[in-house]
Amino acid sequence: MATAARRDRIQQVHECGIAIAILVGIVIGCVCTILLPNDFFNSGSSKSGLASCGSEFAVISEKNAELRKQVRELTEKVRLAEQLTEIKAGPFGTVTGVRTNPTVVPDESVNPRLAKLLEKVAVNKEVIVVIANSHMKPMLEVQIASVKRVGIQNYMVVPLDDSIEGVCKLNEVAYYKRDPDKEVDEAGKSGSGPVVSGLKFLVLRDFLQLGYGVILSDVDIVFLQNPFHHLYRDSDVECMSDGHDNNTAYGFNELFDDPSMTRSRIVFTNRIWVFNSGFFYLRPTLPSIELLDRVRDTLYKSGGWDQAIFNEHLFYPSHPGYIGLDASKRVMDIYEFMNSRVLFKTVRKNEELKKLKPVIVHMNYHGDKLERMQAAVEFYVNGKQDALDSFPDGTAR
Amino acid sequence: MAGRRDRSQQLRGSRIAIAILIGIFIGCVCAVLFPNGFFNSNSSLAVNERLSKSSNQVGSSACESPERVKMLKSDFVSLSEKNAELKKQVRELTQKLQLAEQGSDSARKQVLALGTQIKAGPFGTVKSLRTNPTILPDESINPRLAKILEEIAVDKEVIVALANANVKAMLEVQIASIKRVGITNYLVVALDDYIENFCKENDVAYYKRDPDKDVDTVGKTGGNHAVSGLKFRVLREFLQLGYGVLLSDVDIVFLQNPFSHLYRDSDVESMSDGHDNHTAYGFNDVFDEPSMGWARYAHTMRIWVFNSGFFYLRPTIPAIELLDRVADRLAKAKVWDQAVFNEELFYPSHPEYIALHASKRVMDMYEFMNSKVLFKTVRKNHELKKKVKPVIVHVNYHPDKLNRMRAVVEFYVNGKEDALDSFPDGSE
Repeated sequence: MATAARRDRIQQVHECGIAIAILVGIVIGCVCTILLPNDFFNSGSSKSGLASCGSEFAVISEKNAELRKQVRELTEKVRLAEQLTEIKAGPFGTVTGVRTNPTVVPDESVNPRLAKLLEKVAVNKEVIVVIANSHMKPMLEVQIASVKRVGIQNYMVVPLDDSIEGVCKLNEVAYYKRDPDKEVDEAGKSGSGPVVSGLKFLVLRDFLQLGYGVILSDVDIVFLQNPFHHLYRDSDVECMSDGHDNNTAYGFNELFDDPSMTRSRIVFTNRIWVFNSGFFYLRPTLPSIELLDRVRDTLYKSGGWDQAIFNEHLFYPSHPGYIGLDASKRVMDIYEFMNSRVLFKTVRKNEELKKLKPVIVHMNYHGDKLERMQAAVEFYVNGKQDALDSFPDGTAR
Repeated sequence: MAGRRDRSQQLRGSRIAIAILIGIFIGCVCAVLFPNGFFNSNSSLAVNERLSKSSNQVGSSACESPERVKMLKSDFVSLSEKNAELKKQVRELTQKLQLAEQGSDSARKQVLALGTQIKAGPFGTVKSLRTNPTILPDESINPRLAKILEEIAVDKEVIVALANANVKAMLEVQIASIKRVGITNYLVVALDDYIENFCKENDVAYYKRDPDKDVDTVGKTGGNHAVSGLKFRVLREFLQLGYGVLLSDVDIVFLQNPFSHLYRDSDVESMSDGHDNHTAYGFNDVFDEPSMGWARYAHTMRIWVFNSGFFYLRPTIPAIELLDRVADRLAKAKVWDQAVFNEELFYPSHPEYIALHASKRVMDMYEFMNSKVLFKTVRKNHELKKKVKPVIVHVNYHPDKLNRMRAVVEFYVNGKEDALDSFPDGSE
């Protein structure tokens, strides 16, 4: 009797046990479901293909969200702009167009090494840049001395060879040595002024793209004041002139006479002496960058003198077969930013003008540049009144 | 006894094992049926949400069953397309913003500068703006003129000629040439009643300004230079109404429709007083100063003046500023409007002077021909005589304008080969 009862009970326990066991199994299964909601059967082979699918989805959906945000922001900005700017022309005398173009967004990725250097050297995101090779060493030394005397901090040299790099190190002058480039380095070593001069249109681009305003200076320039205190900064290009008076420097109406036209023999023409491509300030704008590109492109394709090409792109309007550059321009004051013709043919012979203190003097019109630079220092810095007297107006050929 | 117990124990053990296995199997079935767990139903989620969830389970969890793979692949494609579309939108909006920003004054620019995304591309890809944005038309400044222009303008452009009774004969020749070519968007600004009647009689659109003592005195009695100066005051309203204007003097014969030959890429597009590629389009005029020895040659930029008797202005801020500057200077001093027009266009800023910044284009000197080119060059050159078909001929270099205009018509329209021969290069 007991055995039967026990057997029943055991059977019951067995049955319970089985039920319990089944329940335990289900629970374990469910727990697996929750913890690993992957499909066990498919996870193997397709995991590799679909895993990348998953991460690609992540990327693309992130991009999508980003773009939507950008579109929203831009739409709002355009709406605001159109509201604000609705370019309406005001009444007579009130309308002024833009000549101070917006600056480009700085792009450090263009040249991270230069970006780092400029961060340290620049003042108000502006810097003076001089490009020099060993042929110019003595003049560079006079220039560096003048820069230090004035106390200009944001001055740097782009050395085209090791000798100049050495000069910079010795004189504690900031310098930027470009990455090696066969063509540029070849040209860089040339003793020819124009060849080296052409390189500036290649070198300066990075500076502008990094968002810096640049004064390009030749080596045959003596600094007597800080040029940054004398800039207007209202145009794409602000440049010194090769002209020698108000007419030639700032532009004038030159009459052309053609007697065969009798009553209409006199024709009006616009004429201006060229901008001197040895000393100019560029704002980091699209027209400035386009200017550099154009000059570089023309030099590469057809050669020529960089100063002439620089001016042609600045001045010629569009005409059949040619689309002109539209950059705003300012000519620097010819007594502040003085070329050597003005100094030797006009200023030194005039008691009043002699008292003027230039910002810079550029020995562009003369071959004996070093001597004249030293004389300028003697006259303007050391006060030696007759320092300029011994020189002829021009330089003998 | 023991054997049976063992066996039953074994049996019990195996039953338990089987029971556990059954349980696990049921659990797996649940896993298959509810892949995301029991608590989330995924059938109602939109693509993005679905994807954002799967993107939270990066890598291993987003792609599961074959159906889901297909669904997600199509989502991927549509997302990529959407992205491309959005990128295009971003580009267009950025450009729009740039343009809007370009035209604003400095105060407003401060606000916009925050969003300006002007990035300079690599060498050779940078093209700065020369085709400036047009202004918002403002009808309120002259509703009467607005109405007239609405009727006669074509593509919001119109030819405008200013005339008083003194120039009636030339105007007549011009009008005949206009009609011959079939130009309909031509308007005469009548400076007196005589011309107003003349236009009515000849079925030519005209506009008589409201009375204005200064303008009317000059208009009626002024010499041709004085009248010429008026154009810089008259044209402003046309531009403010949003119209592109081709200003034409009366001593011009039309041989083709000029609107088919404009580039429209600059604020000012003008014909030249030059007589060859150098003088017309600009050249390097080397200046020799022997006393400078080594540096005796100075380079200079030189160009013959734009002819202010035939030019096209786009309705932009720089174009309006140009008109204002010229009108202002003409009001203050007795100067030639053409000289002032050119000085304002060409001189850069310099100490105590802020320059105008307007984009410029010189018209083709054979298409838009001045009379020096015609009489000194073209008529003496067999090739040019045959091949060149001018759009207009402007008898600017000669005082006997009427006769020469008639001769131009005889030569270019009526084919009279010797029509131009009797005239001297210059004038008597």
